[in-house]
Amino acid sequence: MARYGMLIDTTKCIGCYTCRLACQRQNGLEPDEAFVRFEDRETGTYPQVGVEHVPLQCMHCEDAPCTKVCPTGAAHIGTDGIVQVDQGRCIGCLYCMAACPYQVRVRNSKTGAVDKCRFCHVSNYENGTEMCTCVTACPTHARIFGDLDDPDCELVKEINRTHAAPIAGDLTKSKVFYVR
Amino acid sequence: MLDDAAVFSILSKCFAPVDKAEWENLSAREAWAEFLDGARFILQNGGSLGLDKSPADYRRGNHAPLQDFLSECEVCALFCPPTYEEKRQFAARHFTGGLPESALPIESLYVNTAKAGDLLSPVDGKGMYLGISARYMSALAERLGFGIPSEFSDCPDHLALELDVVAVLLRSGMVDEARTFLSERFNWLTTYRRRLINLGSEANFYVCLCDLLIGIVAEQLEDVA
Amino acid sequence: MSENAITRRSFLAGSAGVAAVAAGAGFLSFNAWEQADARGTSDIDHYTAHSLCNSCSSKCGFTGYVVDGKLGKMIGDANHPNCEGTLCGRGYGFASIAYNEDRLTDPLKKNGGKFEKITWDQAYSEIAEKVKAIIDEKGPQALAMVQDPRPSGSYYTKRFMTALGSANVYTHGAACNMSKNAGFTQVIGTGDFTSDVANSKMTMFIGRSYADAIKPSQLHAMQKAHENGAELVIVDPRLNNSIAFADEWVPINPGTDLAFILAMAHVVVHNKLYDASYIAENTVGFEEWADYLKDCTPAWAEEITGISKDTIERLATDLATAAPAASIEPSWRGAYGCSYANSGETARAVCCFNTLLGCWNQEGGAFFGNSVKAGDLDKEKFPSVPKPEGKIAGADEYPLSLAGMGVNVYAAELAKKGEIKGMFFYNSNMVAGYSNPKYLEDCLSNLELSVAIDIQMTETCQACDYVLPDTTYLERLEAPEFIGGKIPAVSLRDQVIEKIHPNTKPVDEIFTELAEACGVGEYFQFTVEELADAQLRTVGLTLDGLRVAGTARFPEKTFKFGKTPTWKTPTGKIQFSSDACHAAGYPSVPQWTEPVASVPEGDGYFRLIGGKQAVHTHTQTANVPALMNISKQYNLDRVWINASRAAKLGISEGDEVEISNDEAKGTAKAHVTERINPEALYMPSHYGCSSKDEKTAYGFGLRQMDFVPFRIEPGYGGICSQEAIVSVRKVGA
Repeated sequence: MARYGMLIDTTKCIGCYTCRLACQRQNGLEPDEAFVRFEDRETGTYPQVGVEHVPLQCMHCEDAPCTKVCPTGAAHIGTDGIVQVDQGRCIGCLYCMAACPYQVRVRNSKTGAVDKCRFCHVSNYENGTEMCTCVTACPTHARIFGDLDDPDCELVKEINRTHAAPIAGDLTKSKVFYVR
Repeated sequence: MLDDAAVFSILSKCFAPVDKAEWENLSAREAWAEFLDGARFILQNGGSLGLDKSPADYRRGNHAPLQDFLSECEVCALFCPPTYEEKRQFAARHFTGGLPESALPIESLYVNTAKAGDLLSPVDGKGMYLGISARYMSALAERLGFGIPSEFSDCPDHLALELDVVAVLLRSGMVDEARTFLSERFNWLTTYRRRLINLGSEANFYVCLCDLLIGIVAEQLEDVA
Repeated sequence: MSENAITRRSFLAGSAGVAAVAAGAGFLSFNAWEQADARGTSDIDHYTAHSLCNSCSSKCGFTGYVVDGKLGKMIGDANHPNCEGTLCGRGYGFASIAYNEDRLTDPLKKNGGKFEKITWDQAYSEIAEKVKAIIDEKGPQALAMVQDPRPSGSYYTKRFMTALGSANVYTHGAACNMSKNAGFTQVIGTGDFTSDVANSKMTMFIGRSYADAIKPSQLHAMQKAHENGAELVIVDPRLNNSIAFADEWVPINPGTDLAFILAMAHVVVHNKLYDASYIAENTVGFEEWADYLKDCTPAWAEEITGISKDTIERLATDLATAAPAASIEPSWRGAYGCSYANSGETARAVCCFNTLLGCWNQEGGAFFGNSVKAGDLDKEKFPSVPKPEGKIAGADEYPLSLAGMGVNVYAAELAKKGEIKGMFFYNSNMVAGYSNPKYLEDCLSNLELSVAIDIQMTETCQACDYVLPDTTYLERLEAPEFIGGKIPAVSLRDQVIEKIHPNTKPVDEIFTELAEACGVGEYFQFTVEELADAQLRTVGLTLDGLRVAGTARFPEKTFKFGKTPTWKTPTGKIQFSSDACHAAGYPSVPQWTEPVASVPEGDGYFRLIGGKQAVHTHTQTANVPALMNISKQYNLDRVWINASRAAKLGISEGDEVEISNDEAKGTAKAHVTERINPEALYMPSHYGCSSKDEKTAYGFGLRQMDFVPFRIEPGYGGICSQEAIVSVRKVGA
């Protein structure tokens, strides 16, 4: 069993939305159905100004609040620790959207069911892709995907080297780490 | 009296290009009256779809005037089908893509039927050509032994073809299948009707045909339910 | 045919007439079909094809994965020099345009103000008749073409117009990068160079953001330079997103880049930080420029540019120290491609400054890559078209403009004057993007013949009498695209998906058939496949081969650093001074000249600036739902206003503000930010679509060009896209 996670280096993020658009295309999502959400921050005063772009998506929390409020078990933690939504069991009550502290779950306007980042490389949808789409598509290579339990993988090495941390501390046990 | 297959066949031709002689033949006073009579009958007599209408059956059926179902101006429009030139011009302005007053009768442009994460329909969506309904229609046409005519290659789910399928099914004695098809394929007409209404009185004839169709579908399916 | 048969004739049965099938046979309900479809995809047709993205002019190579006839996944081609394996977001989003509900499906003709479908035959014969009448009356120079270059479009539009005898083939250039290219040409004899950013010790970007107007390979180079510790500086009134990989933002006053460069040149010359022998060997006019520069002190420039003299001094010294592995990057449209009345002169100053750095063809400096072009084709099959007698209209009036681009807005003016009677537009939304839309619309209304060829009903289509529906880039093969650079390459836009709308035609067919109708069909007796294959065979490749590879490189033509190029200027040297500029009314060496529009006294006035956002290209992507959804979700239509200016005007984040000048008035939400120079108001260049037919784009945001008066840069012919002052006030205040 792997424990999959991701690193996002915001110092390399230019806020170009490519991850979102590539994800939509490769995963066949609707134009208004985006698994990546962006927060932009500005610091300092003119002319000494800093800019930060933070892409947010499902953090695949080990203690995922969404799974706790789901009345049907549609939102669940699947194999390899990937938080999943069983589309067939989702009744569209949107409790999970309210429970997610990162506000990264979206409702599919066609089906009414809720969906979110699936770590598409390993997800059981469509037999996965060669690598997570956002990772390969990022034009500045700001993302790394891997197994958090494998000390030799690039992901773990980079997390250690950069002291990357979850975006909101210990709010949840997030498996997406940020360099800021 | 016209059989139901012919009624659907004529409805089909109202939404697609047909040549001048053909349209004048169809819309000539007596022929049109016959069509209206046939349409009215299935609009009012649930469960009659595809059945042989012997004179006795016909006499037993409901015979309320169309005014009971449609507004006065709609009835007027329905009773006066457009001339060939009017029909051609309407199509040139409204059954043509990319214009402010485009109102193409193509299901993909009005509904969302794809499933989440369906890789086979990655760009499906409201307002997109060749959605899942188009793929279904292509598959169905092929299964029935037909091809989609080349002028419909961007819209196998054109209303004219959907109506044509109903006609084919009825003509082939597949009444249950026709009902299933009616129940699955024509829900988008309410949305489409709204688009037509925006065009103003010019579109009355087509709005009216939609109402007629919506009415027929409701009546014929209600009985089954 | 009996009446009965007519009544019953089936569309599905085609010529067979009445259709019926064996009872029970074949029918499958939608529900059953959908379930079967979801279970197994084994019988679904899969294939891939190489193409070139069309969401901007970089034309990145990608592999399209087609499933059951529809485009699914797209993967950037690793061997394509512009994308190096990663596409930008626009590429993924833009591809859905093929299926967009607003696609033009049939040839159209305006009738009583409304467009109506007509047949291709009618369109061709009416257009040809008018073309012939115009030629008979006023000669072929009364015809003009405007096109935004794409591989097939460039070839066919030019050949068509040449065959008709007209030299008036314009690109969008005057509204994009012509002033820059024309200014460069005066100094170095060529319109463009490349900064070797990746290997540089220092590169300065003026009004150019690799992270907002993305060509992925440039972004990769910048990132590499940043990781190598190069000093990267952004000179821009707006803190753009490239700051992620840059060290410093120089928040210059809009329109004053020229003064900034002159002052840097002053520092380098005054302190003798240049290589005197290089200057002596390779240049003319240095003394004259050095003399002028004496007064261009950093203190002088501080007043104009808003940049402190210390900063100017430091940056100039840093560049000279890093030389020759340093340069001012050539930029593109933003600062001096077409923006101000001083744009061409700014471009000249950039090349003069780089010359002081001695960076030409030096590693880490600025270089002129190698290129490969198709050779001569078989004259039987592809006969040469005689060169038109006339020059492109505007060549005399704008002597510094480039014949390969032309002053497109001057052609519009000639239409207004009745000198040009017929205009064609291919892949060009001139009306919305090239200058003041109201003015341009008025120009076009005077034409006897106006034809737009496009995929959706743009503002330019609206202004024309005939609109011909093109296929999208995904639905056709095009002529090969030759790409210069360190290693030259050739790349193919192959057909990815079948044509969607049966009554649309690819550009090659449209112009071939139009030529036929106009009586010059003898020059078009070949298909685009034959053309592509013939061109590729001249460089040792074949169409079939490139279809498989997508992109081929020419390693034997690899560019090598170190060799001083041959300068293709009249003097054969790098020209600090230019006789042509002098003849065109400019000083012979680049000197400071202000923008024409000046900011009046008072609190509420701003210089209006534009600029790209990463998810859009000009106005051409605004009708794509996946892209516009981002604009709407993140309020990208907001105008940017400096925080302290906003505070004085009582404007807070998200407030509705009214923006007005003599040309236009409109309201938008304000984005109050520290990321912009106090003099500037930034309005994104993508919104404010006024064509109702583009349902996704229509009615969102304001259009920058509405506020820009019609003006042409003297000599160079640029459209002066930022010579606009607006006043801003809070709505309801």
